[in-house]
Amino acid sequence: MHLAAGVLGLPTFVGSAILATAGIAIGLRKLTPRSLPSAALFAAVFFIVGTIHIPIGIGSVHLILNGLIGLLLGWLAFPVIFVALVLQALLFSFGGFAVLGANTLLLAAPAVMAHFALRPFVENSLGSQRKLLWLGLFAATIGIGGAALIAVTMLWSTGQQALLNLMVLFGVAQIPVWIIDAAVSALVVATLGRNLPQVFVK
Amino acid sequence: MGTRIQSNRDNFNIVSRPLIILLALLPQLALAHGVHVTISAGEEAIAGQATYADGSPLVDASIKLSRSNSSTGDRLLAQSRTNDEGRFAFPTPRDQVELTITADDGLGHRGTAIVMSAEQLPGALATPRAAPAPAPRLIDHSHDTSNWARWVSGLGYLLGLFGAVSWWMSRRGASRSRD
Repeated sequence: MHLAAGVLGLPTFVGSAILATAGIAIGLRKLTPRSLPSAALFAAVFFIVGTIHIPIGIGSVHLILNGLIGLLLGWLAFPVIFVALVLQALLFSFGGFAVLGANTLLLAAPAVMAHFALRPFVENSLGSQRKLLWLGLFAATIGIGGAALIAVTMLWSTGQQALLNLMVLFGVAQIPVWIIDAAVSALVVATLGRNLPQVFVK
Repeated sequence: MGTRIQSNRDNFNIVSRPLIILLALLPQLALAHGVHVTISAGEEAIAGQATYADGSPLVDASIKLSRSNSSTGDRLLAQSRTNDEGRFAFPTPRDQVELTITADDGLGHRGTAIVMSAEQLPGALATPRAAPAPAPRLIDHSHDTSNWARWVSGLGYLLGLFGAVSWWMSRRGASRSRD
Protein backbone atom coordinates (compact mmCIF):
# COMPACT_ATOMS: atom_id res chain seq x y z
CA MET A 1 0.00 0.00 0.00
CA HIS A 2 1.79 3.09 -1.22
CA LEU A 3 0.45 6.44 -2.14
CA ALA A 4 1.99 7.71 -5.34
CA ALA A 5 3.67 11.07 -5.61
CA GLY A 6 1.43 13.89 -6.70
CA VAL A 7 -1.94 12.66 -5.44
CA LEU A 8 -1.86 14.55 -2.14
CA GLY A 9 -2.57 18.21 -1.56
CA LEU A 10 0.02 20.40 0.10
CA PRO A 11 -1.60 20.63 3.58
CA THR A 12 -2.01 16.85 3.79
CA PHE A 13 1.48 16.36 2.47
CA VAL A 14 3.07 18.71 5.01
CA GLY A 15 0.87 17.55 7.89
CA SER A 16 1.63 13.89 7.36
CA ALA A 17 5.34 14.64 7.05
CA ILE A 18 5.30 16.44 10.40
CA LEU A 19 3.34 13.65 12.10
CA ALA A 20 5.63 11.01 10.63
CA THR A 21 8.69 12.92 11.85
CA ALA A 22 7.20 13.09 15.34
CA GLY A 23 6.48 9.36 15.26
CA ILE A 24 10.02 8.58 14.11
CA ALA A 25 11.42 10.78 16.89
CA ILE A 26 9.35 8.99 19.54
CA GLY A 27 10.38 5.65 18.08
CA LEU A 28 14.07 6.53 18.10
CA ARG A 29 13.87 7.53 21.77
CA LYS A 30 12.55 4.04 22.50
CA LEU A 31 15.40 2.39 20.67
CA THR A 32 17.57 0.46 23.11
CA PRO A 33 20.48 -1.93 22.55
CA ARG A 34 18.03 -4.72 23.40
CA SER A 35 15.33 -3.72 20.92
CA LEU A 36 17.71 -2.77 18.12
CA PRO A 37 18.27 -6.27 16.66
CA SER A 38 14.55 -7.00 16.37
CA ALA A 39 13.97 -3.54 14.89
CA ALA A 40 16.63 -4.19 12.25
CA LEU A 41 15.22 -7.66 11.58
CA PHE A 42 11.70 -6.35 11.03
CA ALA A 43 12.95 -3.52 8.86
CA ALA A 44 14.49 -6.22 6.67
CA VAL A 45 11.27 -8.25 6.72
CA PHE A 46 9.16 -5.23 5.84
CA PHE A 47 11.56 -4.21 3.07
CA ILE A 48 11.53 -7.66 1.48
CA VAL A 49 7.84 -8.59 1.76
CA GLY A 50 6.80 -5.24 0.33
CA THR A 51 8.66 -5.99 -2.88
CA ILE A 52 7.42 -9.54 -3.45
CA HIS A 53 4.26 -9.29 -5.49
CA ILE A 54 1.84 -12.15 -5.59
CA PRO A 55 -0.34 -11.94 -8.68
CA ILE A 56 -4.06 -12.12 -7.86
CA GLY A 57 -6.64 -11.60 -10.57
CA ILE A 58 -5.94 -8.42 -12.49
CA GLY A 59 -3.48 -6.94 -10.06
CA SER A 60 -0.91 -8.10 -7.61
CA VAL A 61 -0.64 -7.83 -3.86
CA HIS A 62 2.16 -8.00 -1.39
CA LEU A 63 2.39 -8.52 2.34
CA ILE A 64 2.59 -5.44 4.54
CA LEU A 65 2.73 -6.89 8.05
CA ASN A 66 2.59 -3.45 9.65
CA GLY A 67 0.17 -4.69 12.32
CA LEU A 68 2.54 -7.49 13.26
CA ILE A 69 5.49 -5.09 13.38
CA GLY A 70 3.49 -2.73 15.55
CA LEU A 71 2.42 -5.49 17.92
CA LEU A 72 6.04 -6.54 18.43
CA LEU A 73 7.83 -3.19 18.28
CA GLY A 74 5.35 -0.46 19.30
CA TRP A 75 6.60 3.05 18.53
CA LEU A 76 9.70 1.57 16.93
CA ALA A 77 7.44 0.74 13.98
CA PHE A 78 7.85 4.36 12.83
CA PRO A 79 11.63 4.38 12.29
CA VAL A 80 11.58 0.75 11.12
CA ILE A 81 8.93 1.33 8.47
CA PHE A 82 10.50 4.64 7.46
CA VAL A 83 13.90 3.05 6.83
CA ALA A 84 12.35 0.18 4.89
CA LEU A 85 10.29 2.60 2.78
CA VAL A 86 13.41 4.66 2.03
CA LEU A 87 15.09 1.52 0.72
CA GLN A 88 12.04 0.52 -1.29
CA ALA A 89 11.87 3.97 -2.84
CA LEU A 90 15.59 3.92 -3.50
CA LEU A 91 15.94 0.45 -4.98
CA PHE A 92 12.48 -0.32 -6.34
CA SER A 93 11.10 3.19 -6.90
CA PHE A 94 8.01 2.35 -4.86
CA GLY A 95 6.12 5.30 -3.50
CA GLY A 96 8.81 7.86 -4.06
CA PHE A 97 10.72 10.18 -1.79
CA ALA A 98 8.19 13.00 -1.92
CA VAL A 99 5.51 10.91 -0.22
CA LEU A 100 7.75 9.15 2.29
CA GLY A 101 6.17 11.08 5.17
CA ALA A 102 2.65 10.21 4.13
CA ASN A 103 3.45 6.56 3.50
CA THR A 104 5.33 6.22 6.79
CA LEU A 105 2.42 7.69 8.70
CA LEU A 106 -0.07 5.60 6.75
CA LEU A 107 1.63 2.33 7.67
CA ALA A 108 3.21 3.07 11.05
CA ALA A 109 0.34 4.84 12.80
CA PRO A 110 -1.96 1.75 12.59
CA ALA A 111 1.01 -0.35 13.69
CA VAL A 112 1.30 1.69 16.90
CA MET A 113 -2.47 1.45 17.32
CA ALA A 114 -2.27 -2.33 17.04
CA HIS A 115 0.41 -2.30 19.70
CA PHE A 116 -1.60 -0.37 22.25
CA ALA A 117 -4.85 -2.16 21.46
CA LEU A 118 -3.49 -5.71 21.62
CA ARG A 119 -0.39 -5.69 23.76
CA PRO A 120 -2.30 -5.97 27.08
CA PHE A 121 -3.79 -9.26 25.89
CA VAL A 122 -0.58 -10.86 24.68
CA GLU A 123 0.84 -12.11 27.95
CA ASN A 124 -2.44 -13.77 28.94
CA SER A 125 -2.62 -15.44 25.56
CA LEU A 126 0.84 -16.98 25.52
CA GLY A 127 -0.43 -20.38 26.61
CA SER A 128 -3.10 -20.66 23.95
CA GLN A 129 -2.34 -21.13 20.27
CA ARG A 130 -5.87 -20.17 19.35
CA LYS A 131 -5.68 -16.88 21.22
CA LEU A 132 -2.34 -16.09 19.61
CA LEU A 133 -3.73 -16.76 16.14
CA TRP A 134 -6.58 -14.37 16.87
CA LEU A 135 -4.15 -11.74 18.12
CA GLY A 136 -2.16 -11.95 14.87
CA LEU A 137 -5.35 -11.69 12.86
CA PHE A 138 -6.49 -8.65 14.83
CA ALA A 139 -3.07 -7.03 14.47
CA ALA A 140 -3.22 -7.41 10.68
CA THR A 141 -6.80 -6.14 10.65
CA ILE A 142 -5.89 -2.99 12.59
CA GLY A 143 -2.76 -2.58 10.45
CA ILE A 144 -4.40 -2.92 7.04
CA GLY A 145 -7.76 -1.42 8.00
CA GLY A 146 -6.11 1.55 9.70
CA ALA A 147 -3.77 2.13 6.78
CA ALA A 148 -6.65 2.01 4.31
CA LEU A 149 -8.64 4.45 6.46
CA ILE A 150 -5.73 6.87 6.72
CA ALA A 151 -5.05 6.60 2.99
CA VAL A 152 -8.68 7.31 2.15
CA THR A 153 -8.69 10.23 4.63
CA MET A 154 -5.56 11.65 3.04
CA LEU A 155 -7.06 11.34 -0.43
CA TRP A 156 -10.35 12.78 0.78
CA SER A 157 -8.62 15.75 2.41
CA THR A 158 -7.17 16.72 -0.96
CA GLY A 159 -10.80 17.11 -1.97
CA GLN A 160 -10.55 16.10 -5.56
CA GLN A 161 -13.69 14.66 -7.04
CA ALA A 162 -11.79 12.41 -9.40
CA LEU A 163 -10.17 10.67 -6.47
CA LEU A 164 -13.48 9.44 -5.06
CA ASN A 165 -13.47 6.52 -7.49
CA LEU A 166 -9.91 5.82 -6.52
CA MET A 167 -10.95 5.51 -2.88
CA VAL A 168 -13.49 2.77 -3.48
CA LEU A 169 -11.01 0.95 -5.68
CA PHE A 170 -8.37 1.42 -3.03
CA GLY A 171 -10.57 -0.06 -0.33
CA VAL A 172 -11.61 -3.06 -2.40
CA ALA A 173 -8.03 -3.68 -3.46
CA GLN A 174 -6.98 -4.07 0.17
CA ILE A 175 -9.21 -7.08 0.82
CA PRO A 176 -6.82 -9.70 -0.61
CA VAL A 177 -3.94 -7.90 1.11
CA TRP A 178 -5.80 -8.15 4.38
CA ILE A 179 -6.46 -11.86 3.91
CA ILE A 180 -2.85 -12.86 3.29
CA ASP A 181 -1.55 -10.42 5.89
CA ALA A 182 -3.92 -11.76 8.51
CA ALA A 183 -2.96 -15.35 7.75
CA VAL A 184 0.77 -14.68 7.90
CA SER A 185 0.56 -12.44 10.98
CA ALA A 186 -1.53 -15.02 12.82
CA LEU A 187 0.94 -17.78 12.06
CA VAL A 188 3.94 -15.64 13.02
CA VAL A 189 2.38 -14.55 16.33
CA ALA A 190 1.38 -18.13 17.15
CA THR A 191 4.83 -19.48 16.29
CA LEU A 192 6.66 -16.77 18.21
CA GLY A 193 4.33 -17.20 21.16
CA ARG A 194 5.10 -20.90 21.31
CA ASN A 195 8.80 -20.96 20.52
CA LEU A 196 10.08 -17.53 21.52
CA PRO A 197 7.64 -16.10 24.08
CA GLN A 198 10.28 -13.73 25.47
CA VAL A 199 9.77 -11.39 22.49
CA PHE A 200 6.36 -10.57 23.93
CA VAL A 201 7.56 -9.99 27.48
CA LYS A 202 8.88 -6.56 28.25
CA MET B 1 42.59 4.64 29.19
CA GLY B 2 44.68 5.90 26.35
CA THR B 3 44.37 2.64 24.46
CA ARG B 4 40.63 2.72 24.98
CA ILE B 5 40.27 6.05 23.23
CA GLN B 6 42.59 4.87 20.51
CA SER B 7 40.43 1.83 19.82
CA ASN B 8 37.33 4.00 19.65
CA ARG B 9 39.00 6.10 17.02
CA ASP B 10 39.88 3.03 15.03
CA ASN B 11 36.27 1.94 15.24
CA PHE B 12 35.17 5.29 13.97
CA ASN B 13 37.34 4.95 10.91
CA ILE B 14 36.22 1.41 10.23
CA VAL B 15 32.54 2.32 10.45
CA SER B 16 32.53 5.80 9.05
CA ARG B 17 34.48 5.19 5.88
CA PRO B 18 32.12 2.66 4.31
CA LEU B 19 29.21 4.76 5.56
CA ILE B 20 30.47 7.84 3.78
CA ILE B 21 31.01 5.81 0.62
CA LEU B 22 27.45 4.47 0.89
CA LEU B 23 26.07 7.97 1.34
CA ALA B 24 27.99 9.16 -1.68
CA LEU B 25 26.33 6.43 -3.75
CA LEU B 26 22.79 7.37 -2.74
CA PRO B 27 22.00 10.09 -5.29
CA GLN B 28 23.16 7.86 -8.10
CA LEU B 29 20.95 5.02 -7.01
CA ALA B 30 18.01 7.32 -6.59
CA LEU B 31 18.24 8.22 -10.26
CA ALA B 32 18.49 4.62 -11.38
CA HIS B 33 14.96 4.73 -12.76
CA GLY B 34 15.20 7.99 -14.63
CA VAL B 35 15.17 7.88 -18.41
CA HIS B 36 17.13 10.33 -20.50
CA VAL B 37 16.07 11.06 -24.04
CA THR B 38 18.68 12.88 -26.06
CA ILE B 39 17.66 14.26 -29.44
CA SER B 40 19.39 15.71 -32.43
CA ALA B 41 16.88 17.27 -34.77
CA GLY B 42 17.75 18.12 -38.38
CA GLU B 43 15.76 19.27 -41.36
CA GLU B 44 15.43 15.73 -42.68
CA ALA B 45 15.30 13.58 -39.58
CA ILE B 46 15.02 13.57 -35.85
CA ALA B 47 17.32 11.02 -34.28
CA GLY B 48 17.87 10.23 -30.67
CA GLN B 49 18.78 7.81 -27.97
CA ALA B 50 16.95 6.75 -24.83
CA THR B 51 19.04 5.63 -21.87
CA TYR B 52 18.47 4.89 -18.22
CA ALA B 53 20.20 7.13 -15.73
CA ASP B 54 23.03 4.62 -15.42
CA GLY B 55 23.73 4.95 -19.15
CA SER B 56 22.34 1.60 -20.27
CA PRO B 57 20.04 1.82 -23.30
CA LEU B 58 16.29 1.23 -23.35
CA VAL B 59 16.14 -1.76 -25.68
CA ASP B 60 12.98 -2.27 -27.75
CA ALA B 61 11.19 0.51 -25.91
CA SER B 62 8.20 2.25 -27.41
CA ILE B 63 8.95 5.68 -28.89
CA LYS B 64 6.13 8.05 -29.66
CA LEU B 65 6.40 11.25 -31.64
CA SER B 66 3.54 13.64 -30.95
CA ARG B 67 2.62 17.17 -31.79
CA SER B 68 2.32 19.10 -28.56
CA ASN B 69 -0.92 20.93 -28.14
CA SER B 70 -1.97 22.22 -24.77
CA SER B 71 -5.63 22.76 -25.69
CA THR B 72 -6.51 19.55 -27.53
CA GLY B 73 -3.86 17.29 -26.05
CA ASP B 74 -0.93 15.74 -27.84
CA ARG B 75 -1.61 14.18 -31.22
CA LEU B 76 0.35 11.05 -32.09
CA LEU B 77 2.25 11.47 -35.37
CA ALA B 78 4.47 8.42 -35.49
CA GLN B 79 5.49 5.44 -33.44
CA SER B 80 8.65 3.39 -33.38
CA ARG B 81 10.82 1.21 -31.18
CA THR B 82 14.38 1.61 -30.04
CA ASN B 83 17.14 -0.68 -31.28
CA ASP B 84 19.69 -2.56 -29.15
CA GLU B 85 21.54 0.67 -28.43
CA GLY B 86 18.38 2.55 -27.47
CA ARG B 87 18.52 4.58 -30.68
CA PHE B 88 15.59 5.66 -32.83
CA ALA B 89 14.88 8.01 -35.72
CA PHE B 90 11.91 9.67 -37.40
CA PRO B 91 11.66 11.74 -40.55
CA THR B 92 11.19 15.35 -39.49
CA PRO B 93 7.51 16.22 -39.86
CA ARG B 94 6.69 19.32 -41.88
CA ASP B 95 5.01 22.35 -40.36
CA GLN B 96 5.27 21.28 -36.78
CA VAL B 97 5.86 23.85 -34.12
CA GLU B 98 6.52 21.76 -31.08
CA LEU B 99 7.07 18.02 -30.93
CA THR B 100 7.13 15.68 -27.98
CA ILE B 101 9.11 12.47 -28.01
CA THR B 102 8.27 9.94 -25.33
CA ALA B 103 10.26 6.81 -24.60
CA ASP B 104 8.55 4.10 -22.55
CA ASP B 105 9.99 0.67 -21.79
CA GLY B 106 6.60 -0.66 -20.68
CA LEU B 107 7.85 -1.26 -17.14
CA GLY B 108 7.02 2.15 -15.76
CA HIS B 109 10.18 3.91 -16.91
CA ARG B 110 9.48 6.86 -19.10
CA GLY B 111 11.34 9.84 -20.43
CA THR B 112 10.29 12.78 -22.53
CA ALA B 113 12.05 15.27 -24.75
CA ILE B 114 10.56 18.34 -26.38
CA VAL B 115 11.70 19.44 -29.82
CA MET B 116 10.92 23.00 -30.81
CA SER B 117 11.08 24.33 -34.33
CA ALA B 118 13.37 27.11 -35.51
CA GLU B 119 10.66 29.75 -35.22
CA GLN B 120 10.25 29.08 -31.55
CA LEU B 121 13.77 28.43 -30.53
CA PRO B 122 16.88 29.48 -32.41
CA GLY B 123 18.96 26.61 -33.68
CA ALA B 124 16.24 23.97 -33.76
CA LEU B 125 17.69 22.14 -30.84
CA ALA B 126 16.24 19.79 -28.38
CA THR B 127 15.34 20.67 -24.84
CA PRO B 128 15.26 17.48 -22.85
CA ARG B 129 12.83 17.95 -20.05
CA ALA B 130 12.47 15.83 -16.95
CA ALA B 131 9.32 13.78 -17.24
CA PRO B 132 6.96 13.54 -14.28
CA ALA B 133 7.58 10.34 -12.41
CA PRO B 134 5.22 7.57 -13.52
CA ALA B 135 2.78 6.35 -10.91
CA PRO B 136 5.05 4.03 -8.94
CA ARG B 137 2.12 1.95 -7.71
CA LEU B 138 1.67 0.62 -11.19
CA ILE B 139 5.23 -0.57 -11.55
CA ASP B 140 5.41 -4.32 -11.31
CA HIS B 141 8.94 -5.50 -10.82
CA SER B 142 8.01 -9.10 -10.22
CA HIS B 143 9.50 -10.21 -13.54
CA ASP B 144 12.59 -8.12 -13.15
CA THR B 145 15.63 -10.35 -12.98
CA SER B 146 17.65 -7.81 -11.06
CA ASN B 147 15.34 -8.04 -8.03
CA TRP B 148 17.87 -10.25 -6.30
CA ALA B 149 20.52 -7.58 -6.57
CA ARG B 150 18.12 -5.03 -5.14
CA TRP B 151 17.11 -7.25 -2.25
CA VAL B 152 20.70 -8.00 -1.41
CA SER B 153 21.69 -4.35 -1.54
CA GLY B 154 18.67 -3.37 0.55
CA LEU B 155 19.57 -5.93 3.19
CA GLY B 156 23.14 -4.72 3.00
CA TYR B 157 22.08 -1.17 3.74
CA LEU B 158 19.99 -2.39 6.68
CA LEU B 159 22.86 -4.43 8.02
CA GLY B 160 25.13 -1.41 7.72
CA LEU B 161 22.60 0.80 9.46
CA PHE B 162 22.17 -1.78 12.19
CA GLY B 163 25.92 -1.94 12.64
CA ALA B 164 26.27 1.83 12.72
CA VAL B 165 23.47 2.31 15.26
CA SER B 166 24.62 -0.52 17.51
CA TRP B 167 28.17 0.82 17.38
CA TRP B 168 26.88 4.28 18.32
CA MET B 169 24.81 2.82 21.14
CA SER B 170 27.63 0.75 22.51
CA ARG B 171 29.88 3.83 22.40
CA ARG B 172 27.30 5.87 24.25
CA GLY B 173 26.81 3.03 26.74
CA ALA B 174 30.57 2.77 27.23
CA SER B 175 30.99 6.49 27.83
CA ARG B 176 28.09 6.43 30.30
CA SER B 177 29.52 3.55 32.26
CA ARG B 178 32.86 5.37 32.42
CA ASP B 179 31.27 8.52 33.90
